[in-house]
Amino acid sequence: MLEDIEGKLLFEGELVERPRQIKAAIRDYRFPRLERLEP
Amino acid sequence: MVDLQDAANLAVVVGLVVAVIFNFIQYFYGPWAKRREERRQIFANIRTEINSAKVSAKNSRMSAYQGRLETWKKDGHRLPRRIQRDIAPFAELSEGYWPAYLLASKLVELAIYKSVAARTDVAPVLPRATSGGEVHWVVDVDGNKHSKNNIEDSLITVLTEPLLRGDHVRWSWLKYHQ
Repeated sequence: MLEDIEGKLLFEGELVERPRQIKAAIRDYRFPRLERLEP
Repeated sequence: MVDLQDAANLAVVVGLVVAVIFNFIQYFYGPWAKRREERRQIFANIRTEINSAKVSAKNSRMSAYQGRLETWKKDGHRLPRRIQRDIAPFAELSEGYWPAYLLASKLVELAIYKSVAARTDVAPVLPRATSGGEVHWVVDVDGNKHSKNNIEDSLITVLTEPLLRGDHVRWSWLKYHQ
C-alpha cells in the first residue's frame, strides 16, 4: 500500500514537493543588497 | 554697476549658505531625519523577521510554523526601492509556504484514502462514521480488526510528515510508529 501511496504522490509530484522546495529556497535565499549594508 | 554685481554675488553666496544650513537641519533634525529613523526601525524589524523565517525553514517538520514578514507587508513600501527588490521575492516565498503546505498535505491525505480504498472493497472516500452510523471494518496482517476510518486517520497521521519531507517510507518504520 505504501508503494500505492507513493505512486499516487509521484503523479502529483510538483504540488507535493512545492512546500519542500519553498523551505529550501527560504533557507538558501541571499540578500545581496542587504548584505552590503551589514556592518 | 560693480556694486550691483557684488550685491548679486553676495546674494548668491548667502543663498548657498542658507541652502546648506537648511539641508543640514533637514538632514539631521528635520523630517528627513525622522524618515531615516522610521526606515531604520522598519529595516531592523524586517531583518528580525527574515532571520526568524530562515530559522523556521531549517525546521525539518513540514507542519511547523513558517515565519512571515508582517512588517514587510505593512511598511515595506517605505524602504528604498533597491532594498524592496531584494526582499520582495523572499517575502513572496514566505507567504506562499502555508498555501503550498495545505495543498500538498491534502494531496497526501487523498492518496492515502485512495490507496486504502484500493485495498478494500468499500467506496474510495467515505463519510466519517458518526455515532450510530455504519462502520466499515478492515483486517490487518496480524488478523486484528480496525475501523476503516481509524486506519485512514492513522496512516494520515503517520505518513503525512515523511511523505511531504520526501522520505521513502517503509513498513518497518510504519509499524514502529503504529
